[in-house]
Amino acid sequence: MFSFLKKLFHRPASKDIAKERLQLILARERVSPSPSFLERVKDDIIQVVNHYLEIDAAAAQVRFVHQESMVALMARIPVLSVKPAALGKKEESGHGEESQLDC
Amino acid sequence: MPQVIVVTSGKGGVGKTTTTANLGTALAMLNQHVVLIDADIGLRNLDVVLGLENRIVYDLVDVVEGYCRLRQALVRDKQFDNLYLLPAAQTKDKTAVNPEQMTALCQELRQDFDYIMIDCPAGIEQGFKNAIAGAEKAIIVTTPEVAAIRDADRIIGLLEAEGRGDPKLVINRLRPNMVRRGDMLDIIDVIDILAIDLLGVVPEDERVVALTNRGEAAVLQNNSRAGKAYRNIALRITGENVPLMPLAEEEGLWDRLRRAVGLGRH
Ligand SMILES: Nc1ncnc2c1ncn2[C@@H]1O[C@H](COP(=O)(O)OP(=O)(O)OP(=O)(O)O)[C@@H](O)[C@H]1O
Ligand SMILES: [Mg+2]
Repeated sequence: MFSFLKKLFHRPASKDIAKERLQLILARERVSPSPSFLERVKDDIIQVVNHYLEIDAAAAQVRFVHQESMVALMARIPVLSVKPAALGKKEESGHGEESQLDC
Repeated sequence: MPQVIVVTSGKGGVGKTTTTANLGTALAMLNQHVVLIDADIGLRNLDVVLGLENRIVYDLVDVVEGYCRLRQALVRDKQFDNLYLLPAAQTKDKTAVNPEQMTALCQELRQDFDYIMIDCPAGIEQGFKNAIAGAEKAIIVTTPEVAAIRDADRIIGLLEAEGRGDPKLVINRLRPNMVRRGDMLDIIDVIDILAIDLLGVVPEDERVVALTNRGEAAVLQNNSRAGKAYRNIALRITGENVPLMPLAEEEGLWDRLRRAVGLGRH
């Protein structure tokens, strides 16, 4: 009887576990919209980046990555070169490298 | 102003058809003109829940294909002459109808009815798209379980994407004893998670199954708690402000004893 009582008090109620699981599942799924949505995001990002960098747009990828309690948007856009016109007075950044942008 | 309301859930078997039949009957009891559309083409159910299976001549697909007039396909309820069913076709599949046709159908029904309620099939495919097409309001049915709530959330997202936001929630098959033990999500938990307005809570009630066996709606029984819950929801749909009813049945001696010795959670 005693151990039963102890168990009762130490184990979290199953509904609390259900709630926690649901909140995690939904946090993930609510930001997993259709592929066409991600395509639109990708096109816009490419447009902006295009002002500054020569990129391989066809090879660009945009997706969500799930970390423990966070969802990040990951864009992987191969960079061919920096556009001279865009350099202006800002300092140079790496040429011809592939870089990742965390947005 | 007529209202077209779709009853949907994502997950199957959570009580869409039971909810449609009972709310339709309860609205008819309130003297509203009601038509219930069974949009579950190929898996017709609403007819048997209402006990109208022997009166069907034509169905929704017959209407859409122009095989009969809409009037001819409407089946009048046994008890209420202001309650009608538009049955689903049983021998066709969901592709027999498209969203434009459903929208036109609902539009036509608006001329004769106050409430047009659509019993949506489970899932998010063509049948779902047909069912929501003509509706401007949605009732989401869920049970207090992880899988059902997750699917409900998906449906809420899809409705929003279709520009049919602001759905209302019905929590079905709640078991007060399990909630008290902490073994079932409670009302607040579910609302917290889904973040939509609550329309009502229907307790688990064995009589629902027994009454469905007879093709009778629970709302017609005074002693059915689910029936009472559905009558309250119908009143809320007509704009009345009805508080949530107390959910627990009169506590048994055993429960009281257990609580007295501190074994219960409250
Ligand atoms: N409040 C309740 N108490 C007890 N039983 C219930 C309750 N609500 C529904 N049921 C039972 O649950 C079962 C499923 O209900 P129903 O057919 O209404 O679900 P559904 O969502 O329409 O299913 P489907 O997705 O297959 O169309 C039925 O046997 C019904 O009698
Ligand atoms: Mg059903």
